[in-house]
Amino acid sequence: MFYLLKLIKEVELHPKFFGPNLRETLKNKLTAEVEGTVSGKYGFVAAVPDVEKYGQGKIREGTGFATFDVTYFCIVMRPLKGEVMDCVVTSVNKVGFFAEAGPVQIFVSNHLIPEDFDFNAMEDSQFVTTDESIRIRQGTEVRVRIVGTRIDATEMFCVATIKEDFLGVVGDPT
Amino acid sequence: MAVPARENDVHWPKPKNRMVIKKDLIFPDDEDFGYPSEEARPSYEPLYKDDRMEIIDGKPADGDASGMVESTNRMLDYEKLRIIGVRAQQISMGSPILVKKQEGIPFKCPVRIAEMEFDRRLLMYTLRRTLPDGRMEQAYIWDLSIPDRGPRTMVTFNRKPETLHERPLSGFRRFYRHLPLPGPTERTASRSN
Repeated sequence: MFYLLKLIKEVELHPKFFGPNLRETLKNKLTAEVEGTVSGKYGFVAAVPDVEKYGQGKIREGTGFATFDVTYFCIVMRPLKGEVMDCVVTSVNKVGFFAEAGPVQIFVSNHLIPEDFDFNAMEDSQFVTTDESIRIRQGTEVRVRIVGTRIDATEMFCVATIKEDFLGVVGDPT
Repeated sequence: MAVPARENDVHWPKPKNRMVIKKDLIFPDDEDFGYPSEEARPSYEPLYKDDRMEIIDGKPADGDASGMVESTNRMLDYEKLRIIGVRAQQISMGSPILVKKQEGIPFKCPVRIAEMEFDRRLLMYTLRRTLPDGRMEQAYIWDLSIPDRGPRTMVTFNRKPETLHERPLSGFRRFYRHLPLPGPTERTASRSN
């Protein structure tokens, strides 16, 4: 799920930017530092749409740098337990399959796949229904429900299920 | 170039008393620090004012921070030098300078530029003091009264204004600059060939 948060970050700035475009430089530096990172508390920071307030700079002793407290809005993506999301399968093996939805890694275990799917290792590893009408292989788009999440300092990992009504294969690349 | 044969032949002069401040040298009369008149030049103010408790509407007058700071409304010499030092470091790291380039003033020494910016009141710093009980107080530097002709930085200390942009000689060469540079000795002469 996506959230709009207001956060504060200390941005350090080199003295050569202490000129007319200081705030622009601060915003560029903040965006470069924050966008695309995962924080364990908030999740994946997708974008910084706006900066609310630039604080007063504090001079760092000895280094000549100054630090600014910048209050900014950011769009944060964080998977929740029970959330339904679409994802793309990246690899399949006999214990289940891995998929990813943007920055989130998702694992769907063998036990959380309906019983009529069988693992077929003969033609590039995939799960096939008994009537061979539906296949889950690399590149398949799958709709899953998240069962559990783990957010580290640098990555997000989820366990998900497709053993429910209205879940399963959404589209196939072929 | 004559190289002295022995150390005893050299007349080593005593280092001069370098603490003598020649006022005409450091503050030549033609050097204008940008104050519109002599009255506008900041001066010392009494440490404590009798009317300290007066409630003032709006922004206090320049040089009057008596209602804002608890300790003293006078900028200390150390604080002035610290401000100039911090600014000089920023300039030496490439910060854009705030004074206009003028004819006749050397613009190569960052400390000198920082001093000029300070004297023309172009800096916009806030001073933060720690009181003895750990509390902090802060004041815009121009709300404090500024030491008028307090100690100068070592760069402008006892040096002629026209040599301020030159890099000072290092080590003992600074004291014995009138001596010739040592020529090639027997050992190093063969090396150059």
